[in-house]
Amino acid sequence: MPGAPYFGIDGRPRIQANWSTLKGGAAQTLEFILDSGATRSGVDKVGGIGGTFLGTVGVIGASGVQSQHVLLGDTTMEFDVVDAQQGTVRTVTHTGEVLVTGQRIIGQEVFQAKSLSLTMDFTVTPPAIRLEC
Amino acid sequence: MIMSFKFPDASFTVDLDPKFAADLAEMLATNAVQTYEVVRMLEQIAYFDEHRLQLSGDYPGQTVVIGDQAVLFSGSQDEAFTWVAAHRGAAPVYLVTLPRPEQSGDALAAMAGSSGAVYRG
Repeated sequence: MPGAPYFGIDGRPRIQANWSTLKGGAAQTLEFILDSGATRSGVDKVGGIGGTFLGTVGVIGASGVQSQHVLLGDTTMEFDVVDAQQGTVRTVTHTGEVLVTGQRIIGQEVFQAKSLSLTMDFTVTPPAIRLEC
Repeated sequence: MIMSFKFPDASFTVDLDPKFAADLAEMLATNAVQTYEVVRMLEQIAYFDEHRLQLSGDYPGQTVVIGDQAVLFSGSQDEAFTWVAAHRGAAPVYLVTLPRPEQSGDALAAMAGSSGAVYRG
Protein backbone atom coordinates (compact mmCIF):
# COMPACT_ATOMS: atom_id res chain seq x y z
CA MET A 1 0.00 0.00 0.00
CA PRO A 2 1.25 3.55 -0.69
CA GLY A 3 2.40 5.55 2.29
CA ALA A 4 4.77 8.29 3.44
CA PRO A 5 8.30 8.61 2.02
CA TYR A 6 11.27 7.28 3.95
CA PHE A 7 15.03 7.06 3.59
CA GLY A 8 16.48 3.87 2.17
CA ILE A 9 19.60 2.17 3.44
CA ASP A 10 21.61 4.18 0.89
CA GLY A 11 20.21 7.45 2.21
CA ARG A 12 18.04 8.13 -0.82
CA PRO A 13 14.36 9.01 -0.23
CA ARG A 14 11.91 6.34 -1.33
CA ILE A 15 8.20 5.72 -1.42
CA GLN A 16 5.87 2.80 -1.93
CA ALA A 17 3.68 3.20 -5.01
CA ASN A 18 1.01 1.14 -6.67
CA TRP A 19 2.34 0.33 -10.12
CA SER A 20 0.56 -1.05 -13.17
CA THR A 21 1.02 -1.37 -16.93
CA LEU A 22 -1.60 -1.67 -19.65
CA LYS A 23 -1.09 -5.41 -20.21
CA GLY A 24 0.73 -6.28 -17.00
CA GLY A 25 -2.19 -7.57 -14.97
CA ALA A 26 -3.07 -6.41 -11.48
CA ALA A 27 -1.33 -3.46 -9.89
CA GLN A 28 1.57 -4.25 -7.58
CA THR A 29 3.15 -2.25 -4.80
CA LEU A 30 6.75 -1.37 -5.56
CA GLU A 31 9.38 0.79 -3.91
CA PHE A 32 10.52 3.83 -5.94
CA ILE A 33 13.38 6.24 -5.34
CA LEU A 34 12.24 9.87 -5.28
CA ASP A 35 14.70 11.88 -7.37
CA SER A 36 13.69 15.18 -8.95
CA GLY A 37 17.23 15.34 -10.35
CA ALA A 38 16.55 12.39 -12.63
CA THR A 39 15.25 13.77 -15.88
CA ARG A 40 12.87 10.84 -16.45
CA SER A 41 11.21 8.21 -14.33
CA GLY A 42 12.41 4.66 -14.57
CA VAL A 43 11.34 1.14 -13.75
CA ASP A 44 13.17 -2.16 -13.72
CA LYS A 45 12.56 -4.94 -16.24
CA VAL A 46 10.12 -6.78 -14.02
CA GLY A 47 8.03 -3.67 -13.43
CA GLY A 48 8.10 -2.88 -17.15
CA ILE A 49 6.31 -6.07 -18.17
CA GLY A 50 3.08 -5.20 -19.95
CA GLY A 51 4.07 -1.65 -20.89
CA THR A 52 3.76 -0.45 -24.48
CA PHE A 53 7.08 -0.37 -26.33
CA LEU A 54 7.43 3.18 -27.70
CA GLY A 55 11.08 3.21 -28.60
CA THR A 56 14.63 3.51 -27.38
CA VAL A 57 16.38 6.40 -25.69
CA GLY A 58 20.05 6.80 -26.47
CA VAL A 59 22.43 8.60 -24.17
CA ILE A 60 25.88 9.77 -25.18
CA GLY A 61 28.08 9.94 -22.11
CA ALA A 62 30.94 12.31 -21.43
CA SER A 63 33.37 9.90 -23.04
CA GLY A 64 31.22 9.69 -26.17
CA VAL A 65 30.08 6.17 -25.36
CA GLN A 66 26.44 5.42 -26.14
CA SER A 67 24.05 3.65 -23.86
CA GLN A 68 20.40 2.87 -24.48
CA HIS A 69 17.21 2.37 -22.52
CA VAL A 70 13.82 1.07 -23.60
CA LEU A 71 10.99 3.62 -23.43
CA LEU A 72 7.64 2.23 -22.30
CA GLY A 73 4.23 3.87 -22.38
CA ASP A 74 0.89 3.10 -20.73
CA THR A 75 2.36 2.81 -17.26
CA THR A 76 0.63 4.13 -14.16
CA MET A 77 1.98 4.94 -10.72
CA GLU A 78 -0.12 5.88 -7.73
CA PHE A 79 1.25 7.17 -4.44
CA ASP A 80 0.35 9.28 -1.43
CA VAL A 81 1.21 12.96 -1.01
CA VAL A 82 0.45 15.56 1.60
CA ASP A 83 -1.68 18.46 0.43
CA ALA A 84 0.46 21.34 1.74
CA GLN A 85 -2.52 23.69 2.07
CA GLN A 86 -5.03 21.30 3.60
CA GLY A 87 -2.56 19.21 5.55
CA THR A 88 -4.36 16.08 4.41
CA VAL A 89 -3.05 13.00 2.68
CA ARG A 90 -4.32 12.25 -0.79
CA THR A 91 -3.39 9.85 -3.53
CA VAL A 92 -2.07 11.08 -6.87
CA THR A 93 -2.03 9.05 -10.06
CA HIS A 94 0.42 9.59 -12.90
CA THR A 95 0.14 7.84 -16.25
CA GLY A 96 2.92 8.26 -18.77
CA GLU A 97 6.17 6.99 -20.19
CA VAL A 98 9.12 5.55 -18.27
CA LEU A 99 12.57 4.26 -19.10
CA VAL A 100 13.51 0.69 -18.32
CA THR A 101 16.53 1.16 -16.08
CA GLY A 102 18.24 -0.71 -13.31
CA GLN A 103 16.30 1.24 -10.70
CA ARG A 104 12.73 2.28 -10.03
CA ILE A 105 12.73 6.08 -9.92
CA ILE A 106 10.07 8.76 -9.75
CA GLY A 107 11.75 11.53 -11.70
CA GLN A 108 11.54 15.15 -12.60
CA GLU A 109 8.67 14.93 -15.10
CA VAL A 110 6.36 13.50 -12.42
CA PHE A 111 7.47 16.12 -9.88
CA GLN A 112 6.64 18.81 -12.44
CA ALA A 113 3.36 17.32 -13.65
CA LYS A 114 2.03 16.90 -10.12
CA SER A 115 3.70 20.00 -8.58
CA LEU A 116 5.50 17.84 -6.02
CA SER A 117 8.20 18.82 -3.59
CA LEU A 118 10.12 16.79 -1.06
CA THR A 119 10.25 18.51 2.34
CA MET A 120 12.39 17.75 5.35
CA ASP A 121 10.62 19.09 8.44
CA PHE A 122 12.99 19.78 11.34
CA THR A 123 10.27 21.45 13.41
CA VAL A 124 9.22 18.03 14.68
CA THR A 125 11.12 15.32 16.51
CA PRO A 126 12.29 13.17 14.92
CA PRO A 127 12.58 15.18 11.67
CA ALA A 128 9.92 14.18 9.16
CA ILE A 129 10.17 13.75 5.43
CA ARG A 130 7.09 14.55 3.39
CA LEU A 131 6.16 14.48 -0.25
CA GLU A 132 3.96 17.54 -0.71
CA CYS A 133 1.90 19.03 -3.48
CA MET B 1 30.53 -1.20 -27.78
CA ILE B 2 30.28 -2.19 -31.43
CA MET B 3 28.13 -5.31 -31.65
CA SER B 4 26.71 -7.35 -34.52
CA PHE B 5 23.20 -8.76 -34.56
CA LYS B 6 21.95 -11.43 -36.91
CA PHE B 7 18.31 -12.14 -37.71
CA PRO B 8 16.89 -14.48 -40.35
CA ASP B 9 16.31 -11.59 -42.78
CA ALA B 10 18.68 -8.89 -41.59
CA SER B 11 21.93 -8.20 -39.83
CA PHE B 12 23.26 -5.07 -38.11
CA THR B 13 26.47 -3.76 -36.65
CA VAL B 14 25.74 -0.98 -34.20
CA ASP B 15 27.21 0.88 -31.24
CA LEU B 16 25.18 -0.61 -28.42
CA ASP B 17 25.41 -0.80 -24.66
CA PRO B 18 26.10 -4.54 -24.01
CA LYS B 19 23.81 -4.44 -20.99
CA PHE B 20 21.05 -3.14 -23.22
CA ALA B 21 21.68 -5.98 -25.63
CA ALA B 22 21.20 -8.44 -22.78
CA ASP B 23 18.00 -6.64 -21.81
CA LEU B 24 16.77 -6.93 -25.40
CA ALA B 25 17.43 -10.65 -25.49
CA GLU B 26 15.50 -11.10 -22.26
CA MET B 27 12.62 -8.95 -23.47
CA LEU B 28 12.45 -10.93 -26.71
CA ALA B 29 12.40 -14.16 -24.76
CA THR B 30 9.46 -12.95 -22.68
CA ASN B 31 7.65 -11.42 -25.68
CA ALA B 32 7.84 -7.98 -24.08
CA VAL B 33 9.04 -6.81 -27.50
CA GLN B 34 8.64 -8.48 -30.89
CA THR B 35 11.45 -9.32 -33.30
CA TYR B 36 10.26 -6.80 -35.91
CA GLU B 37 10.36 -4.07 -33.26
CA VAL B 38 13.94 -4.94 -32.35
CA VAL B 39 14.95 -5.01 -36.01
CA ARG B 40 13.42 -1.59 -36.54
CA MET B 41 15.14 -0.29 -33.42
CA LEU B 42 18.51 -1.54 -34.61
CA GLU B 43 17.90 0.05 -38.03
CA GLN B 44 17.35 3.37 -36.28
CA ILE B 45 20.46 3.05 -34.13
CA ALA B 46 22.49 2.05 -37.21
CA TYR B 47 21.12 5.10 -39.04
CA PHE B 48 22.18 7.29 -36.13
CA ASP B 49 25.66 5.75 -36.02
CA GLU B 50 26.09 6.33 -39.75
CA HIS B 51 24.94 9.96 -39.61
CA ARG B 52 26.18 10.87 -36.15
CA LEU B 53 28.58 13.59 -37.24
CA GLN B 54 26.09 15.19 -39.60
CA LEU B 55 23.30 15.06 -37.01
CA SER B 56 25.57 16.52 -34.33
CA GLY B 57 26.25 19.44 -36.66
CA ASP B 58 22.62 19.91 -37.66
CA TYR B 59 21.04 19.52 -34.20
CA PRO B 60 23.65 20.46 -31.57
CA GLY B 61 22.31 20.12 -28.04
CA GLN B 62 18.91 18.95 -29.26
CA THR B 63 17.08 15.68 -28.84
CA VAL B 64 16.22 14.08 -32.17
CA VAL B 65 13.54 11.48 -32.74
CA ILE B 66 14.57 9.04 -35.46
CA GLY B 67 11.94 6.98 -37.21
CA ASP B 68 12.17 5.34 -40.59
CA GLN B 69 15.80 6.31 -41.26
CA ALA B 70 14.94 9.99 -40.90
CA VAL B 71 14.70 12.63 -38.21
CA LEU B 72 10.99 12.94 -37.42
CA PHE B 73 11.35 15.62 -34.76
CA SER B 74 13.98 17.71 -33.00
CA GLY B 75 13.75 19.89 -29.94
CA SER B 76 14.38 19.87 -26.23
CA GLN B 77 14.39 16.56 -24.41
CA ASP B 78 11.00 17.29 -22.81
CA GLU B 79 9.53 18.26 -26.18
CA ALA B 80 10.83 15.06 -27.73
CA PHE B 81 9.21 12.88 -25.04
CA THR B 82 5.96 14.81 -25.46
CA TRP B 83 6.15 14.32 -29.23
CA VAL B 84 6.63 10.57 -28.85
CA ALA B 85 3.66 10.31 -26.48
CA ALA B 86 1.49 12.24 -28.94
CA HIS B 87 2.59 10.29 -32.04
CA ARG B 88 2.09 6.68 -31.03
CA GLY B 89 1.76 5.70 -34.69
CA ALA B 90 5.45 6.45 -35.21
CA ALA B 91 6.56 4.01 -32.48
CA PRO B 92 9.00 2.49 -31.98
CA VAL B 93 11.40 5.41 -32.46
CA TYR B 94 14.92 6.26 -31.30
CA LEU B 95 15.44 9.37 -29.18
CA VAL B 96 18.92 10.64 -28.69
CA THR B 97 20.28 13.89 -27.32
CA LEU B 98 23.19 15.25 -29.31
CA PRO B 99 26.08 16.94 -27.53
CA ARG B 100 26.73 20.65 -27.94
CA PRO B 101 30.07 21.56 -29.53
CA GLU B 102 31.39 22.89 -26.21
CA GLN B 103 30.56 19.55 -24.57
CA SER B 104 33.20 17.91 -26.72
CA GLY B 105 35.76 19.90 -24.76
CA ASP B 106 34.02 18.96 -21.53
CA ALA B 107 34.19 15.34 -22.58
CA LEU B 108 37.93 15.54 -23.10
CA ALA B 109 38.36 17.26 -19.74
CA ALA B 110 36.18 14.65 -18.08
CA MET B 111 38.18 11.86 -19.65
CA ALA B 112 41.43 13.46 -18.56
CA GLY B 113 40.13 13.84 -15.03
CA SER B 114 38.39 10.46 -15.02
CA SER B 115 35.29 12.14 -13.66
CA GLY B 116 33.02 9.60 -15.30
CA ALA B 117 29.61 9.97 -16.90
CA VAL B 118 27.60 13.11 -16.28
CA TYR B 119 24.16 11.92 -17.32
CA ARG B 120 21.54 11.30 -14.70
CA GLY B 121 18.30 9.78 -15.72
